[in-house]
Amino acid sequence: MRDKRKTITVLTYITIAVFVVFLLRLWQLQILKGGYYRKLSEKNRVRVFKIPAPRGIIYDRNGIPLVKNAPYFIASLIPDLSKEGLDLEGLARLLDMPVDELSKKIAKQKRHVLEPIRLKEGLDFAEVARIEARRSDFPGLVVETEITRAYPYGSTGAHLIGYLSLPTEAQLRKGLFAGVPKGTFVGQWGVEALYDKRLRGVPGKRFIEVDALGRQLRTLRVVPPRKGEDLTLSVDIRTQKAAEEAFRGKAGALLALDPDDGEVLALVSLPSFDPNLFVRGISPRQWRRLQRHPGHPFLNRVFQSQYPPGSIFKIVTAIAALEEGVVDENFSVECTGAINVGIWKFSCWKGQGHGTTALRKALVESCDVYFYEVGRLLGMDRIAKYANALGLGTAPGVNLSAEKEGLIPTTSWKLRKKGIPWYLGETFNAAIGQGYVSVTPAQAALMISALANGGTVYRPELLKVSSGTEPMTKLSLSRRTLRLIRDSLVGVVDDPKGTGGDAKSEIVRIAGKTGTAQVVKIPESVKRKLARKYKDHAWFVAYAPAANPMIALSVFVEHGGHGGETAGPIAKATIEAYMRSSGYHAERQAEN
Amino acid sequence: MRLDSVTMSGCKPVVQGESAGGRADRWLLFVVLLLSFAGVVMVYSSTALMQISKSGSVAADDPGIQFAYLKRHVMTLVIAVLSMWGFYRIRPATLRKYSYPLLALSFLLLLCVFIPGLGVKINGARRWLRLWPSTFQPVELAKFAMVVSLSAYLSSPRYRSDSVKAFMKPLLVMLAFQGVILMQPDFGGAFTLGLITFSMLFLAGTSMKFFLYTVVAMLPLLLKLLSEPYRMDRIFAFLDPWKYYHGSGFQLVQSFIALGSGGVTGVGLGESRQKLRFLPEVNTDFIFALIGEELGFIGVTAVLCLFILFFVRGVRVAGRARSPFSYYAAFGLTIMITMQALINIAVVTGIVPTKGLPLPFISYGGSSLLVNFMAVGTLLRISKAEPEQYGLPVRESIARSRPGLKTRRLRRRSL
Repeated sequence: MRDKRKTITVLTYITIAVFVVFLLRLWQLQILKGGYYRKLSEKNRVRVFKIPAPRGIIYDRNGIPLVKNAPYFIASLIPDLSKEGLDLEGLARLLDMPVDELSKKIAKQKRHVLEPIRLKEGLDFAEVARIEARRSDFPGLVVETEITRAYPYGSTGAHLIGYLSLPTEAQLRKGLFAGVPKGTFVGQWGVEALYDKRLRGVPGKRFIEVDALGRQLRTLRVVPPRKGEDLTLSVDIRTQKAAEEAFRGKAGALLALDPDDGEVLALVSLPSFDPNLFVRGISPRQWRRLQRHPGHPFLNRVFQSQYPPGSIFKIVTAIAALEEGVVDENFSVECTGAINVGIWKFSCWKGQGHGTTALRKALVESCDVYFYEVGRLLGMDRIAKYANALGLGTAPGVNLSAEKEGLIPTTSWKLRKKGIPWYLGETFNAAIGQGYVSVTPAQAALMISALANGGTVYRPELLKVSSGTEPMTKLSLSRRTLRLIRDSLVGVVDDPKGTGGDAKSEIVRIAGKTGTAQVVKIPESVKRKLARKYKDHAWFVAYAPAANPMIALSVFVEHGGHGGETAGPIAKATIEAYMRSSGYHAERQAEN
Repeated sequence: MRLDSVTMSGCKPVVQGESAGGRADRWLLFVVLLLSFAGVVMVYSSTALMQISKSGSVAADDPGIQFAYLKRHVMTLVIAVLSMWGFYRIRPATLRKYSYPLLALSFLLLLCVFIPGLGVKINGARRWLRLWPSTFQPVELAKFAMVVSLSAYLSSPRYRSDSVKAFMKPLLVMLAFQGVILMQPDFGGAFTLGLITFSMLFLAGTSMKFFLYTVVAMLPLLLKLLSEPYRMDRIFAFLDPWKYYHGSGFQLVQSFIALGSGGVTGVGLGESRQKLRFLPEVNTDFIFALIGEELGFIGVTAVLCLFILFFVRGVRVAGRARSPFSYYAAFGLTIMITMQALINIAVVTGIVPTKGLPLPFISYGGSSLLVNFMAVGTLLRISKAEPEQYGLPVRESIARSRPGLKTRRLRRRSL
């Protein structure tokens, strides 16, 4: 125990000293600055107005702004300044809205006395001018400002860029957007939502002294807002635009990547929507119309639709076969138009057959029988191993929307899932990308991009990155395999008999592969007469320039019929747009 | 710390034949009752225009329920005075005997807060226990239990102020309590508990170097705090409340306006404008600002003086205590109450960052009132300065009867 008397004395003195400090502080607050605070208190006239923070601008890879900040005006009423003698009818006339709607709004929020009641949102400039001119007649009436967006490119790239809107009731109840001041627009889709925190900024405040009538006398203090971070996306808006136009109104998806780092050059999901509809509050009618649209405009088909890849999967089968040493470039199969396994007959798409077919011809002319044979030699599990290593069967994890994983079946998967063993016929189907196999357009793009860069799968990167990106998986392919497959894919487009002749470009050499995903199994001749919904889905994967790839892409056209006919030209248009946009075309012309 | 410290050195020697104990400290009781009276008046003034609701207070203009808060406050006060009487009846030796069980009980109650059904969640914090018809805040009891248990611990003959182990034990208990309290979360409560523990260890003569080590041990935590500018911003918001007007700064600016507009004489009892809607928690944590507005500098000075008087009397009681346990308990309880008053006033005047702590005896809030009156009851009992008989535990008796033996053993152990 410390010496009692000393302890008591010391602690008493300390405590009394502290009390004296408090007295001095109270003296300062109450007597020295008392007059100042008394004035502030008279009607507690300090009002705080939010200064909205400008949202970060989103640019494309060439520095073209994809969004604009736009003011959003709201006519509000500060309740405690307008208690008595509010001319409700006059106010209703000024705001051009029914009196009872107005009084309902005012009554609803009366309890939160300090918060302005929002009477009418999304005013245009004329309305703002009219209100400002007559504000002195309505004590407590103010025009608040928020910042919203305008999207100059409209529906182009809407799934990528996204849109802003006010948080919904459900989101607020879930506690999303905590810390965001009430009434602030937040990102709800695409990059606007994904990078909302970075784009958002911190709003500022203006402390204003107002008189009893709500007239603003002077600004006491301003805390300036902090602008949100600008973002440069990897997308090339010119390429994006060209790609969307090339679809000519058809539903589908396209993902174009820079094969060297996975940067997204174009991301198309059609049909799309106009993000400008949301920024001023979408009307219930418009919303219902979008929701019920038969084309599901809110489905991000790049990540959310999965279909059998069809013949584009033959690239995977071919890589597996070459790498495993099952076949070499001279190994050939006699295609007679079909192959029999037991009682089942597996046909080639070309009824009369391809004749003697080696790997290059099999890819160029998309011979099914060749790949049935290769599938038999490989077995499903070896195909699956290479498919997984090329980015298929797992969600790429871009987080732009929910993502489907696709499916790469294995023998153990089937046993687990269905309880019955794997059949050889199923390997046949899988080897040509039918049956259980399914992929999303995003995964198809990863696969072709990996082929273009020599075997590395990069996660699609939405932002333009200065430093290198981390690969998701890396498959080291032998140079022989790469040379053989790449040469074959050039043949698909360039050879007279190639299935992808429609993608042949004058300005750049394109390598690609067509694919068709069956919707129903019926003969082609019947199909042509059938309704659109029974038509096959068209696939095309490609990269260019063939010698030194700068862009790799997948095109998927819903009910597009044959891959080469519908998807090929879209791929070609997209690639050409990018060659022009990136200056490659100009360089080549200068050389010649 | 030698064994002689557990004998009555420094305490008034008991003269044989003297009547057993003097009178309880009436000044102390008077001060407390005066503060409570001020509390009743201010609670009425602050809440006459409020309405009781589940989530706290909502301003309403319905005059029909203007006595609702007052009624509750007076009822709690009656219960508090009764419990003060009850604790006045308890002999210090008995209190000492039950101090550890009390501590354990308070810890259990703190844990109960997290049990759904038992705990009550208000504004995202789980600090209350459902106690029909009201709620109880276990952290208040924990403070009292901590003081009493530490008194028992520090006055035990086995306690050595120069032993690290003896220093660490209460520290670990404190950390366990703080951990649970921070989970509620209640920073004010955890902070006060820490201050109480450290002041009592200081009283016991713990070597200053231990305190120094503790500070050094906390340095990494401090550095982490410094490395997060966001946190620092929050903490130092009180230095520039205008900037944080929408967060904690709002309360503070309104508190300043209340205090400032009171001036020397105040705007008059019941005339506060700030309480109407601008000053949040005017009936609890910020009631001092209301006193400043309505009764002015004179009013707050009076309240400050009453708290000084309380401290002086409390310390006097400790000085006259007849046993080490009583000495520690009296000193600790006095510090507990005075410190909360100091911190509350410091918050309201913007000297320290905002913490949720009530002003003892004055604020509306049952648990704090109840526990503070229990403390006053104990103080009053100790102030009688009766000779205290030790019901010593067996081990302790042995240590006393054979001091040499025990001392040697203790020394060897500490080497």
